[in-house]
Amino acid sequence: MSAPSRGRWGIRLGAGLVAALLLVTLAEVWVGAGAKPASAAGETIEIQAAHGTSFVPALEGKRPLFILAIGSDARSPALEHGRSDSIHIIGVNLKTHRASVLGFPRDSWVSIPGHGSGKITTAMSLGGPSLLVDTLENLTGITIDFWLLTNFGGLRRMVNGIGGLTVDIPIDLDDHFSGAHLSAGSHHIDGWQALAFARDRHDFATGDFARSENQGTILLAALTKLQTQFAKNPAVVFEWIVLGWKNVTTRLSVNTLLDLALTATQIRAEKVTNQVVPGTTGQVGEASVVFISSSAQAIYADMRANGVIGS
Amino acid sequence: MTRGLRLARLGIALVVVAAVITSIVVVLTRNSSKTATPAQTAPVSGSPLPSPTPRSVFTFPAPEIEGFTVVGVGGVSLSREPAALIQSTLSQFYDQAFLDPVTWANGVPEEAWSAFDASVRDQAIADTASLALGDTVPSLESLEVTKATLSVNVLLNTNKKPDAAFAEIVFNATGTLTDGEEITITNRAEFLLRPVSNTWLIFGYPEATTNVTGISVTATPTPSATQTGATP
Repeated sequence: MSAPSRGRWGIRLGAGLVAALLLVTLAEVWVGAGAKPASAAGETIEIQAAHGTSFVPALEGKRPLFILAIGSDARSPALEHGRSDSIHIIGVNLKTHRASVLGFPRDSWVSIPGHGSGKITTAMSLGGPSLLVDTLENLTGITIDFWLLTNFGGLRRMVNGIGGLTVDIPIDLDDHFSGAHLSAGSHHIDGWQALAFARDRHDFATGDFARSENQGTILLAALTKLQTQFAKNPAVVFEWIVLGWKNVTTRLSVNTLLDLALTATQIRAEKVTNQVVPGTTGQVGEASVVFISSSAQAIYADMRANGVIGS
Repeated sequence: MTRGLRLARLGIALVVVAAVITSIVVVLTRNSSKTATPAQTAPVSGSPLPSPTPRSVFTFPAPEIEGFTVVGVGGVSLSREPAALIQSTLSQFYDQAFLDPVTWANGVPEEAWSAFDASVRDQAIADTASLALGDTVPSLESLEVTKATLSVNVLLNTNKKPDAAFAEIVFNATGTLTDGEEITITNRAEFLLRPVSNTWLIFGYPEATTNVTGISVTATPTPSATQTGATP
């Protein structure tokens, strides 16, 4: 290499090193500051990736699920042979996770298999929950998958156990028979108040129909509460199951109850239809009864099809 | 060109070289000091090749346990054994899904998904970004767990046998990229597990969130951050 070449090499080396130094310095500046907002602590922070998701294993199936919720007027251990004061079929569409609650006035005059005609409230006292299931399946054509039974005390303890419920009271209540004394509007009610609201029929012009609808309202308030608590802490489902197990009679396993509870968390409460079978009041002999209207057949058919009324 | 001028140019070049070397040494020294923390530091590799030194397998610390029994009492004592099995299942998944350098380059290995029941496995894989670090940050060079907690709630059936459990996880880690930049990884998850053939598998995740946040090298990790990590 000639002297002039060495000179140019020296200049190039020097320029290259200066450039490298600049690059290192720039790199320092970039790494140190970056194009990021500065925090109060002088750190620079940038969200690069944020992902959140949720997957709850709700029951799935091609046909809807039907659960019979029964409220008995009896005390344990005669619970299963008391009269059913509260009767609701809960239909769940396992594809869409929508649901409906269909209530039956306790004085509904129906055919009870093996026992002729009678008030539906007497079916359980005649043959336990299974006869009530048979009676309803015979009436509606709906196949009941599970039944759950509680009584006054069970309802009260469960509502207290979950910290009460928030319920919209449709009208002022002042009924000394049931003990319901609440003004119209939204109330956070305890177990006693929930029970009184569920039993009150004297304050309502539609009597037994309104009472059945109010019982459905309590079911939906409980569903809303479950979902609110589940969103904060999923393990709350276990508390509900333990509470339910101690206050509900059922043939279901704990595992199946868990499946049902998890499924319930995925049903949007505000989209659940709460309806009572249509009918008229009348007399059979000395007894006041409810005659279910023929228009109820369309409701049964609707519910049978996909578990949801009015879908 | 005169000899004096050539010497002057050579002198300038040497000064520049010295400055460059000094800068490089400063940068390298600072980066190496950040990756020198013990335990839970995955090997400095940046490639999927096996590391030259054995890697510590991650384990969650002993979980907080709560037992829910539908009959009688004694839920906590009966929940200890299932909680230990759940700890094992989740530790293995987090090791494979977050801490194994192979994952950073190649994504979460297929065997990691065996922590999930077959009924939920495809969904979990689709939700990789929420459940795992995987290859979100391929330039990751090392990763150090700064916080890992596990709480287990067990549901016991009428025979006082465990039917299901919810496991709540808080998992934080600090990583260093090949360019020296630091990132933090924050994972929060709630898993539903059920016993299957002497082990516990994940059947659901009501909550699963993974955030990756970049922090400049000027940020100094707090000393406590490296002390709250899981056992090596």
